[in-house]
Amino acid sequence: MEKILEVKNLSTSFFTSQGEVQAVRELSLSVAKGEALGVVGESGSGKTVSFMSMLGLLPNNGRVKSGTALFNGSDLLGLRGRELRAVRGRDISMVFQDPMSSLNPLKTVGKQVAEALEVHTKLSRPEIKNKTVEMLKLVKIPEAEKRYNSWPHEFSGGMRQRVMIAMALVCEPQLVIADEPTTALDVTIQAQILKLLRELKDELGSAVVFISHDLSVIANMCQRIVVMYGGMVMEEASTEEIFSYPSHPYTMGLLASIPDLEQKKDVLLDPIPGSPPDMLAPPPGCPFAPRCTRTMTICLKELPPLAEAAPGHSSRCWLWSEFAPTKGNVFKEGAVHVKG
Amino acid sequence: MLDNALLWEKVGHSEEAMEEIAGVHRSYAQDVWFRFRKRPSAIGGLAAVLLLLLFAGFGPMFTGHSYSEQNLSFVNIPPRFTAWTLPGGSSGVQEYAYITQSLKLIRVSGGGRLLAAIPKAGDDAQNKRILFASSNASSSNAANSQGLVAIDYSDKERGMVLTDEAGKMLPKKRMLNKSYLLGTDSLGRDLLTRLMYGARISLTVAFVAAIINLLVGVIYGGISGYLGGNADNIMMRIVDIISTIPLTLYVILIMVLLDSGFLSIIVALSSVYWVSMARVVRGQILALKEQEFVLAAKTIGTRSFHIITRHLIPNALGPIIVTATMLIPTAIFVESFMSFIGLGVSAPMASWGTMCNDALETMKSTPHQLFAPALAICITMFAFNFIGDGLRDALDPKLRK
Amino acid sequence: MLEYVLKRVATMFVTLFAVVLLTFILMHSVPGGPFTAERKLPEQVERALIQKYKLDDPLYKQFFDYLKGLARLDLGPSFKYEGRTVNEFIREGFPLSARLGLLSVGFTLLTALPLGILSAVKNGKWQDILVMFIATLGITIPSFVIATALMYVFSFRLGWFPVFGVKKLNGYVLPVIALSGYSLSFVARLMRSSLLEVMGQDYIRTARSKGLSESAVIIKHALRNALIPVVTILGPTIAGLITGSFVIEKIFALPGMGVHFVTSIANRDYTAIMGITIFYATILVAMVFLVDIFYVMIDPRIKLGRES
Repeated sequence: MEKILEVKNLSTSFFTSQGEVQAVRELSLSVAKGEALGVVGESGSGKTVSFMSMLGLLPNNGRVKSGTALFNGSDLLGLRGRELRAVRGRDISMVFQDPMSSLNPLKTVGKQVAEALEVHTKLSRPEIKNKTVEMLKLVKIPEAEKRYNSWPHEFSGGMRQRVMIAMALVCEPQLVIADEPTTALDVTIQAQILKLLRELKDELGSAVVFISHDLSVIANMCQRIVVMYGGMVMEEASTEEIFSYPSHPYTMGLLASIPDLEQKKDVLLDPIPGSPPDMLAPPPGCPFAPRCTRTMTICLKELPPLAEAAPGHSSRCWLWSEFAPTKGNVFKEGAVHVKG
Repeated sequence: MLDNALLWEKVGHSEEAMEEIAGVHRSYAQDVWFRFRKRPSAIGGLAAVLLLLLFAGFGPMFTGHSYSEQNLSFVNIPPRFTAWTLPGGSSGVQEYAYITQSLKLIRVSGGGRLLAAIPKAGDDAQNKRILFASSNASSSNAANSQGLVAIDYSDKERGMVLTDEAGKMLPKKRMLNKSYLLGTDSLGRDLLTRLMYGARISLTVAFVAAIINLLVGVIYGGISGYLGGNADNIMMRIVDIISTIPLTLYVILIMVLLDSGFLSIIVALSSVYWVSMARVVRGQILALKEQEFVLAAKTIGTRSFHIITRHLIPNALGPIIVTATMLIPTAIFVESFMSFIGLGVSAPMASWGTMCNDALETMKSTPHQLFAPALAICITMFAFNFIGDGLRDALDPKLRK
Repeated sequence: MLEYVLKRVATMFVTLFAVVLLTFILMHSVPGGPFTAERKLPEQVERALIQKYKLDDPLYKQFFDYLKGLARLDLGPSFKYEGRTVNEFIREGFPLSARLGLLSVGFTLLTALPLGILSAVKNGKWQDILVMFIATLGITIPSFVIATALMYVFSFRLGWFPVFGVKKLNGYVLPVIALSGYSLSFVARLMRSSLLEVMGQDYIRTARSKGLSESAVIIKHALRNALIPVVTILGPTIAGLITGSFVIEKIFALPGMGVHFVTSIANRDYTAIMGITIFYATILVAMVFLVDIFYVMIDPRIKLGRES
């Protein structure tokens, strides 16, 4: 399949008073045309930062240290100023996590959606307005013409997120980056927004990168999943593969943390112990090693390479090394029962 | 290398080790201090305040003057002046003379000490001269050095010069005033000593007022925030009304009522400036009391007083400290302002504001009298503001990462 | 909107009533009465004065009489100057003070807002450091020190401006700068921190992600939001500039309101002190009111009565 985004060896750091926080380390991933890619990981695993790096939206103390991000063949990381702004909103757009704070409280929602068209198209004012209203209808905002002049504070959270989606899609971008778009919403609203995103994706044919900490949400949306931890890709595979044959202890831990309705009552959830690593001084070995139930001496010393667990399925774990005494075998025990 | 079997041995970890929080461990106070001392301005401010305290506390012991001692022969003397060499230095000790603004002559030692006024010997209006008997009192043979010197003001261009009897201009030199390091005021009082006493007054007023405001504000705001509801509404409406009025006006009114003086300033300041503290505390308490740990304390039946003093106020401490620190420069400012418009401490006590006020009229001829207290006010204001800014940033929980 | 305005007008009157009551009580609790404060008057004279100023009426009656006077915008006679009224003092002094104040308001807004914006946009660069250094000076140095320093340097040493008075237009320059020093610095600092705070908001990131240029992000999205906190303090700031000039007037020997106020204080002219205080407070409350109305106009969130 044709790749529209191909990221290679991206490293991003924040420079704070206490030192360099290595938020993203040597990240590589790709997105195919029209594909829905899920990026999953705990907070602080570098999911959001990596995409912000590509769009040049890092806070002032953040810097991309190395890597390339080819978008339709041109390197986003090499773009500056006007060229980069031409990509933002037109070719790649974003939906953010918190619809409460992501809309300007002093501008009507219609104006805010229309703004992307004003920047990127040469349409006349009435045309822009028509297209905006159309878009608001598309995201199922009732009475779109009337709501055009409403203020953000007059909208509920779910409605505001619909406005955000309209804003992201109004220029019909090739890639939409949805950064935890449902996390701040009620569960019922979450389902509505997910449904809307799925429908719009099929209708407009945009590729979607869906960032979330919730594997179950991602499973609903995406064909392929990248699991991130400590600023690195830990595992990457198709959704079915991830759920049927998780090939990294961290992914197995994530899966085990999902409550399952069919699960017997006496089987307790199995959370991952500990907390994510301190990215000020990341451990020299595997970032997950301190929390892993399968840690070996080498895990604490050397960073494991991305190994192929199956065709199209890679995993960053020493257990896949040819020297490992139980190469890959541990993972055959299955997803949910991974007691160490 | 990878085929070393030892590398592939399983490692276990203890639960505690895993639950350990990553990062450097520092107590809250250490953390605040760590961030505070990273700001040069804050450390500078702290150092300045400490020096100021030493200056105010111990300085007057070393100046050799008192704040009220007047020496009418040494009036309006600047810290640095032009001295004229007196003739008759044969006795070995060269002496000098300084011409005051009121055309008097003061004998000055070679080191810059003011010795005594030289007696006037007569006017020579015809030649526009004033004669002085420069006989050296300390000299053994007084008859020998019965020389006369004269202030010659005949030439406007040249200004006043000191000449010998024959009218020849004497050599001159610039020297520092060793008797009064910062010079004297219009009553011949030592400016440095007065500045030190002024510091005592300004700092005492500031600290006492800040402490009273702190207490009143914390109690008022604490009660208002804790009670909430109607009580809070009424209490905050009162605060609103008080703070709509320019506070300086009320300080002025209270000062008028109580008559000027040291205590009045403190009363006036304390009765008005607690409102900002009350607001801060109330806001903090309102936010905090919704939090779980307060609920937890309530469910186990803790008394209200205990909840306020043990749970709410310690957690609101950061903003309270910052507001209190900022109250100090405000108090210093208001005090000097009051003194400046004539409502401050009464003579012979000195505060920086009264010193500025006294010096205002003669600003053109004796600017040093104005500069010294003005500079002192500025430095103090800077120091406390810098400390306040430093504390605010250091105590800001948002920055605690 | 109308409801809001009515509510604010009501609060305004409550506040003013409180001010009048408080000043009245304060001025009538001077120990020994207003005439015995300094020197003993002959008994006859004192009785005549007490009768004239109705001091033997019960306090509440005096208060109501005073309120009645206020309703007719009459602040009463001066205590110390026979035949003069407080209204006359205000009529004589206020125009100059108001002119000085309004010039300072204009000067403050025209310099502080651009400087604050510049400082925020150039966050951490030399422009920012320079502006914030000057602003820190302006906030920490008392106005009377600024005024005397300006006067010493520019009038005495350089001779650029007249030392006293405003006979010539350039006489206003130094008083206006000295008077604006504090508010200018304060507004510039507030503008800067407010704009920086807004620039860190999520909706600014949204605007950037739409492909807006940095200047468009600032002008179209950040500025209006950043102005809101600045507007809230404009009321007290303007009122402070119009009324707070007595030190400046004293230093530059300008015959404004402030001089009358300070003289009244020195003379213990109680009705004058009371009247001028109430007059000052009224201006302040009115300014705060006007700014609040303006504030509602620029922030759509308040129109529905939902604050915050």
